[in-house]
Amino acid sequence: MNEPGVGDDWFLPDGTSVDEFARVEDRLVATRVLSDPEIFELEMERIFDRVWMFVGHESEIPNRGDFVTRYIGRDPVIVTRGDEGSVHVLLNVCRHRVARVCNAERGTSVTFECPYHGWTYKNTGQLRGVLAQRLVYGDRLDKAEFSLSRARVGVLHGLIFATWNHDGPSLDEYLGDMAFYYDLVFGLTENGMEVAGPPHRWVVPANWKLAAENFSADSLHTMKAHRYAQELGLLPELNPSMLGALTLVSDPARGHAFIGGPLHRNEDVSEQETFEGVCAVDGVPRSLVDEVYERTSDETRQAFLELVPMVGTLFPNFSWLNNNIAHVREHAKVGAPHTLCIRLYHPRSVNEMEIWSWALVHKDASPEEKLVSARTALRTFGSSGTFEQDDTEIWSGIQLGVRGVQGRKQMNQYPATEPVMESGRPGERRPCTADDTLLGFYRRWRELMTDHRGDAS
Amino acid sequence: MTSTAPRHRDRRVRMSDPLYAEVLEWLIEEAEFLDGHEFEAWLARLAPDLTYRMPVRTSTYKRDGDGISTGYFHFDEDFESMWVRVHRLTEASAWAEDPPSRTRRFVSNLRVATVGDNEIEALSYLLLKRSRGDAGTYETISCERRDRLHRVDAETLLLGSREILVDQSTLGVTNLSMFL
Repeated sequence: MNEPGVGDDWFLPDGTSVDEFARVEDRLVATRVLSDPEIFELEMERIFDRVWMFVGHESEIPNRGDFVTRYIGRDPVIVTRGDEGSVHVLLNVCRHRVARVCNAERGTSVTFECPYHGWTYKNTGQLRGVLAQRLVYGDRLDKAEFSLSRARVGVLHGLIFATWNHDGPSLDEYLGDMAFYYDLVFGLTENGMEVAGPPHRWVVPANWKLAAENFSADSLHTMKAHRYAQELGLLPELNPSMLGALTLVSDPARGHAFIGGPLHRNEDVSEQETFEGVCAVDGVPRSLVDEVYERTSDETRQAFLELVPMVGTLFPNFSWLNNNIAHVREHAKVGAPHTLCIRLYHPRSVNEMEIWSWALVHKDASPEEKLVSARTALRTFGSSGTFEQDDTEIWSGIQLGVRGVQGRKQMNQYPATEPVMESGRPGERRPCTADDTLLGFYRRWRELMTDHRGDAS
Repeated sequence: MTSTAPRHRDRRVRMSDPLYAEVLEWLIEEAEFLDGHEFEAWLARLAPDLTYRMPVRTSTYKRDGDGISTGYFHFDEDFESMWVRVHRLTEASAWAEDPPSRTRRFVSNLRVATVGDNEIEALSYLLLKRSRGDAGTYETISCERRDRLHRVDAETLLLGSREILVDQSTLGVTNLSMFL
């Protein structure tokens, strides 16, 4: 087995080894990870083709026969709800002459009929019919051997993940220390969450890692990139000392991280009262607060009272925002509404990502609560989101700066280091200015990129 | 007004009607305000009870409907949220529009119908070309806009509602920092 980081298994055409790009020990990452087409191709093979990838939410395909089409890396897949109710993820490529068997983004169909030569598949992937089978193939075609390629599927609180790695870790193992916290974000209520509607999709001329890294643990940029919200009085004036209220939580071995919100515990009020307050901040509809209390263990509840997960990335490119954000002036007085926005940074090419952005709302919330939650997502994060507008502008600018000969020699700097904070909870905690946590993303990236056998996945 | 609302073909006015000219002038002037970055002037033309929506669109087989979402939107705005979006551009740090984009809005294929005493339906096509920085290429949005204009007095029309039917399911723009 290759030692991760030895780098004797893959070199760029100029002789540079992949592990020289993510110099985590020196706290430097080469900008070439953002601009090198060869790096991108290797990411497709060694990351996107190997690990658990987010492909959609169960509520997008609520009924038998429902489907949506998605991508794993650059491979088109169909996500279906089979007759027996379970979820299937199938390569959208006919086994005959590789035409796309489904050309819609969503719909309802129990079969997919290839429009080229008429091979027809069940929504579980099995080849069911072949046009003029007896005439063309006689008895030489065994349909059982020609199912659509099927990915392995894992579901967490309605979030559907898939991987081509049939022998790798389970989704639960892949989540690692994040599983505990994802329960607090996505799994609080019995009936769970649903999408408000189909996702925003738009193309941003920037490498996918810029967004994934930003959402994993970059709290510092908020004060500059998103200044408008303070300038218009929507957010209180931020000053650096306020960053002290935030905590980074990560699973450094797996590359996942998130930023946790301020502590809400006030010694003067009862635990019950505090719990209700935190539920409100976390977007739990009032009618469901008791249910959440009953469903959570003491440990979960204590963690929940300490820290609300606000924004994070599951390596490599699934991110979420679980936050309260003001988007009209009135919110500065009455309090900002909650939103849970989930997103995928789909890699189209080394220079281009497609952002997919959904709003999740509680299934049992009132129509009015759902509307407010969805509006909060799209007005702040999404194609027209007033926060995301500025992020996309900045990321596009970065991409322009790393194309040149000099730009490609630059190193991204991660000098800020902070000690690990003991918490007794899952994951590694650090103060929110720690670049150590951001470097965890690239440590994991390097581990996968230098592993030609797939042992690290 | 939702995407399923009927278009009032039977109540359309002729292009030679003075109302048609009035609405066309209104839309051309709106484009002038937006392309000229006169956002306050544009805001003054929005009704206090404005609804402004741009549904997400998906490609679906014909049997599965029109693919126009009734649940999620690129824009889902009212007057207050438009106030924030406008003032973000005019008085706050908005890196997406500073330096500002150069935009050109081409308004065409206008159809006008009277749908009430003080209510006008205006359907138009919009082609927006956006130039950013020193890029040699444009970002483009093409869409149909389904508007309701309120007549306030003989001189004044306000935008009461707008539904924007964009032609792309995946938008080919870095962001929607511009109004449609």
